[in-house]
Amino acid sequence: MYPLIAAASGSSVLVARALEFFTFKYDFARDALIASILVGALCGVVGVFLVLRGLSLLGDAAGHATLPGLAVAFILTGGLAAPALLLGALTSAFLASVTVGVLSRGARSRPDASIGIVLSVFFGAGTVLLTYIQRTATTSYAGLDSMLLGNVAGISSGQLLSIVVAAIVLIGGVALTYRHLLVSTFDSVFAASIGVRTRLIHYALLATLSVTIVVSVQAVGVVLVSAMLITPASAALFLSSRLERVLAFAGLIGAVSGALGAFVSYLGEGVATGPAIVLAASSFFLVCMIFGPRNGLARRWFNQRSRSTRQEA
Amino acid sequence: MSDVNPPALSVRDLTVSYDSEPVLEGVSFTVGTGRLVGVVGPNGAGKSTMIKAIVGTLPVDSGDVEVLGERGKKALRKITYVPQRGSVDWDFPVTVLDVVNQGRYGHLGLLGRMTADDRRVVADAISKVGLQDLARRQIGELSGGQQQRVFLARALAQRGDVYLMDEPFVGVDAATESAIVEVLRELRDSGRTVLVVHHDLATAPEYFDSILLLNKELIAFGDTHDVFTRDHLQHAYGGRLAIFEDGGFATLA
Repeated sequence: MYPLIAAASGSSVLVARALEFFTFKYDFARDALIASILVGALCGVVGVFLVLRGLSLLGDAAGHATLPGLAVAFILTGGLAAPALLLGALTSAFLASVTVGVLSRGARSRPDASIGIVLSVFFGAGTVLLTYIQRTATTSYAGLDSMLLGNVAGISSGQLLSIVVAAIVLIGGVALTYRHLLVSTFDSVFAASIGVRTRLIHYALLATLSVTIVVSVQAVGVVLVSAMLITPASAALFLSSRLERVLAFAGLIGAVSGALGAFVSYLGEGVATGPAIVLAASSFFLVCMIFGPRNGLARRWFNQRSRSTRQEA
Repeated sequence: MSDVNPPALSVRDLTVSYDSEPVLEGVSFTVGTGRLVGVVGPNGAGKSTMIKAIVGTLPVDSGDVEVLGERGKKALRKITYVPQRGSVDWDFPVTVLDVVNQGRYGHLGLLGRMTADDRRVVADAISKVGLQDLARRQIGELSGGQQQRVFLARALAQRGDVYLMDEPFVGVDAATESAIVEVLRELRDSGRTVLVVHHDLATAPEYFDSILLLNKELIAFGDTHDVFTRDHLQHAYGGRLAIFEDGGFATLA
């Protein structure tokens, strides 16, 4: 097969690589595809609740906040023990999202300002710790590096397992508690008045967000994970005015973006998977924003035009 | 269940503060079944706060609430709360039917399914407020009056015993206002008790059997003609009260 590829030139190389991808000849390509699809779907579903609760940027803060946790876990265990790193990242992401809530409630700082403060404090601390590790560490810190931009091709079977488990548990959890999530997101005071435990749901969502971010960071990286939380959800909101369909569309857009990103990054060697996935999701967003049946630009333009022609008539 | 006929709602010594600033102090009252009560008072009198504290969505400093002789969760299940229209995001991806369905959620538990009975209750509630043709619409496509009717339909679908409504007539057209009043009277006539936060002094005596006059503390509570007097209103509103020659009252902006 290799001599064949070498002999071919231009587009035929791409075709050959594409064929190679779909035969799943290599385990790493198959694992990367599964991981990207699941991360996309999970981020899409969880992101809908973030966007609807006006917390779109919380994913950004929590994503960046994984860094200090990762670094501390690295320093404490002296290496790349994956479970320890995940636990460290999870802890600091959850801590960051809770801090945003506390800041915007107690001290009366606005939520967007709180998010900005928490993001920069945690990311700053993470950067300082990373610099320290780079100076002193004797072991390789390449694993830490890949967390910044994500490296889905180098994903270990343990990491893949964590993504599969998180996707099944969290998407399943959303489906099971759907009514409670809906009513507490739409009208939290009413929800509390019928006995829904809105605070518990709030913290459960923050925990869900943290787990989602930590498993997704392995694929798309710290910097881009918030894009995967916001973009498919925002695209899906143009497609339906019923929450259950918005959730399904967001999951689907995320999954397809994941698959496209994994595919494109396999075709063009050196194209990082994370950015490829995010660009795919952004294209979907653009299409939905223009052609979406709910508040899409084309529809608005059409409505306006028919209204003015009616007035003229 | 010690009493034969416990009162619909009994509130004792309710005190609420925001940032250690008291907004409601030692409010106590008891309402019987089948009453339509207006909660009246100047801006910042703690009317909405009182409603939210009674439905348990606000931390209270002290106070005790009993609904038909029950307390805590059992009491909550008998209460139906109707929030202000401005408190939710009307762009939210839900239809009229989705919102009215929420009225049944309290009866379903975490995993219960909507039964045919639930669906009938929801359909009845929607047609009672005249929204049957708009049931599949996204809620943001409705007018202000129609949106308030959605909230009322959700409340009707709850089939509670005590209704607490926060300013249902704000930003609502005249047709909707009289439709809502009509529904509230039917609720009262069927033995339910309804408390309505209301700020229009001109219509209050016409709408309500009883008035609860509030300004941080309870100024007066009782039959409308006993409470709606110049002395009581002046006590509650101070200089913001206008008195007309025909005996009517209004608030100065």
